[in-house]
Amino acid sequence: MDNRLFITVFLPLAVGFVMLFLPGRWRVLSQLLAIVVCGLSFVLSILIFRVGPAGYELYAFKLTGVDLTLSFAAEPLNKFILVFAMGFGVLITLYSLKAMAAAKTRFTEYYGAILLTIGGSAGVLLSDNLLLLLIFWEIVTASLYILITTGGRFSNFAATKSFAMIAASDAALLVGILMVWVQSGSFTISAISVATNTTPAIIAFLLLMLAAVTKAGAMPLHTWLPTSGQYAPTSVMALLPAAIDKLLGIYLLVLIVRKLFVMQSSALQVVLAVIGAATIIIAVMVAMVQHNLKKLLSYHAISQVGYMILGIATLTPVGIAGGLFHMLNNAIYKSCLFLCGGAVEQTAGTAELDKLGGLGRKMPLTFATCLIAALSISGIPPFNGFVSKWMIYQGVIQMPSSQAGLAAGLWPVWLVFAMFGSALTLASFVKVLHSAFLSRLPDNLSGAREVPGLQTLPMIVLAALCVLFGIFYYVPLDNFIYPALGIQPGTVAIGTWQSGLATVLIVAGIVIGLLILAVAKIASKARAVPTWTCGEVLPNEQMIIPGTHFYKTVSSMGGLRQMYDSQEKGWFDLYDQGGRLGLAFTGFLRWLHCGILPMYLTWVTLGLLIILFVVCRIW
Amino acid sequence: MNNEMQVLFWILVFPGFVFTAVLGLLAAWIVRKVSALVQYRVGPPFLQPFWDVRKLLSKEVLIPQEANKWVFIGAPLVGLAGVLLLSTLLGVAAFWPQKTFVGDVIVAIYLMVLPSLALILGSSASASPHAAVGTAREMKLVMGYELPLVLAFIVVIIKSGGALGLAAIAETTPVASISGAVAFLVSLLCIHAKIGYVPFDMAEAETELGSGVLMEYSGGLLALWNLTSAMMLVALPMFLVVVYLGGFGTTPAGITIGLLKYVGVLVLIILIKNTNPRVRIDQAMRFFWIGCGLVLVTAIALATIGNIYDIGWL
Repeated sequence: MDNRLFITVFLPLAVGFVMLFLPGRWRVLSQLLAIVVCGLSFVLSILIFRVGPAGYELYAFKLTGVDLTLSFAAEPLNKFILVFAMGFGVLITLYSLKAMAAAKTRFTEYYGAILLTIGGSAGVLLSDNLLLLLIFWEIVTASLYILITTGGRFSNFAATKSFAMIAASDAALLVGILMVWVQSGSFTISAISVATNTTPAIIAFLLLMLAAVTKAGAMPLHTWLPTSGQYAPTSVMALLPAAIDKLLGIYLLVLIVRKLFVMQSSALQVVLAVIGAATIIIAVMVAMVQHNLKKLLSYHAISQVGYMILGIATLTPVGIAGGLFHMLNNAIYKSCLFLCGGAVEQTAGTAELDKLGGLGRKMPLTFATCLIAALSISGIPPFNGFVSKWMIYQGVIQMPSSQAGLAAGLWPVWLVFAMFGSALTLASFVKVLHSAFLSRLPDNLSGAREVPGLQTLPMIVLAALCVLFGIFYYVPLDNFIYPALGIQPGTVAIGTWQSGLATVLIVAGIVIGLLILAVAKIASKARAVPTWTCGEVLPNEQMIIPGTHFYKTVSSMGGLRQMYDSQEKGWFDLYDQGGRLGLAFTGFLRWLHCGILPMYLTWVTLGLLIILFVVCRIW
Repeated sequence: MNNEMQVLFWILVFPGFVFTAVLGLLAAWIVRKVSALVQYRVGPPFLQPFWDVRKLLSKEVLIPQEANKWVFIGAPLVGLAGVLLLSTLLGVAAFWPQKTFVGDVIVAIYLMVLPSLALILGSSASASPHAAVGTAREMKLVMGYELPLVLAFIVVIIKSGGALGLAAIAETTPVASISGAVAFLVSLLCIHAKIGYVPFDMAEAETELGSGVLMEYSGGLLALWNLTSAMMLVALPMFLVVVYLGGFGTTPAGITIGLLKYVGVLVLIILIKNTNPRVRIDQAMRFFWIGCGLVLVTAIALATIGNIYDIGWL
């Protein structure tokens, strides 16, 4: 019995719940409570991580067969995810102190929902009972709804869409859990092990998988992410869709693949890999042509999930470890990118890339952290994103030698999608860096200033983690990832990447370059001059080339153009399509209820005839 | 000699900075001389590339007022460091196959992006509209050739049976089969585009963009770019020699043959450069994605069939 598990989950939940009902203007109190409770949870999670396996049980109630005992367990897999989830809570709360200060009301609601998220995600991670996990999972979904609505205009629409899509997948989770219960007779996670060789088992697997990938933001139910990305506060995006939703979704996926089920079906592996590969490439193609910084980042939040799912789908040790490591790395750089996006929006008053430019000189810290995070997400060595992608590629390459079946036979397809997706990611972040930070400063932004230190601090911490986890990648691997998967460090067949040496050599190369420049005496001879425009004098505004049209060549290419058009119209959005279907159905009902008596009589007669036919079986 | 000294020697002298820079400038002279001969000109004297760099180093450096100074100055440094690390990595794999050094073939492919990325960021930081157009073209070109490069890489992996070490891949000599030869030829075109020679020089495009991405660079910084592109002339063909053509080997005869392979690749690059006009960026992307893509998918299919039925020449 370890009370700390109980406190980590229920302290934030209780405080957060109470705060929802306090007057919205109590700003200082809500900030204070949020930061103290988040800090406490973070400290507790570290303590939990440092002790060995721990458990907690509290008898709640028991119906015939349904045992709802509060049972928590700290295992290597959930312990490290817990530390990072709580850490993100602290960082985002710190960032929010200044970022949300402009709002006039709803402080208690915002910080209360953040605490609910923290407590709920701790509950999901720690619970050892599937029903309990479902309840906490719902708490996180509900608090995401509240958080998105704090975003101002149109955010209610975005919140509803997100809630509808995630809740639909949560329904799948409920049914899936019940199906698992029927087959294994237990809700206790550590006691379940279902073989995926019967139809009900496969359906249960697919339902649980749908819930996991929707929470993480992968296709096909992914469209809630860009919509909320556009209208929700960026701090919310940095906390939930960028970090905690990924951690929870991928945690559940690993749970499904490694613990709840014994994978015996190659078809399921193909399904997972297809979801992964398609998510990577389609989302990044869409991201590339976006004009809104926040929307662009949201599509990348979708695309990156594909790598994690693909890594897990390889079922090779290095691939799964890479997928899990990518989850961690993605949470770090993605959160950082959203925070940078928020800082830019706060300074410039807009997130439209057309209207930005040259902010790198005005906001050097934001630019530096954004650059590091952008290079990480594009998989440039020696940053952290490179390492996990490199492991996932190796996992894919090792598939044919370690397993038979269709999924292994198709490894070139997975590899092309993953590696080419990485190049497209780089392209779309070049667009971001150019449009927002490099290029030229528009005249109306000449008074732009760096955001306050409380906001840059979380960005700097996250960017530093990107660098550290990249150069010393074996530290998180040996301490978090391998123990979580029960892999002995050193037994994984992994290629060569001497990151430390490479970094030293890159620095050496830069020093050589500097020495050459020193020979040229750059300091004494450098001179600042206006941009050369071949003699033509142009106003500044006319010399700004925004990056939003960089990839017109791609989006106007035959074949791709039609895809982009239909995507823009929402043809691939299951939410929109579901809405259209629902409208068509209600339209049909409305047409039936025309208010003309003979019409109703006709229907009644027809119905009676059908009943007679069925009852008397006249056929 | 202890390990640190060994690494220092590798990176500074051979096969690192001194070797790559000298050989690269020499290769740049060969390219210019042969191109001149093809066009019935005399061409530059032997030491011209060295003199160019030396003269640029003595010139004033101009930095645009609106530019992001740190990125503008840092970009050529990172580009130089990237190509230096790449050429050292390939050189060690070629001449000391038994040593593990820095990384495997995936690392090499990712390091190849660094110089292009540095060029893109540097030109974007220069705040010039001409350079911005060049930035977009350079990035699209990277996107274009990255797909066939990855597809060709898959052929290599099938041929090597999943081995990723550069030395292990060099032993398999993928070019000695139909699919491997196709992959080699397409990779050669990708390398050509990476160096930025005609017909894929639309990012610099002297006649329409006034050297585009490099427009605002001058003096010492331009000298660094010149040096970087000269070193790319060593590193990138070396990548092809190691990955496709069987590498260098350790015997004197092997090294001589390896150098001949390198010269052969260089000759092919010069031939392509001098027999083609510049293409538009959309033509280049379509060529790489559709043309090269389809050819390589066929090559992958052939290689897979060859792998399953154990037919070495497919």
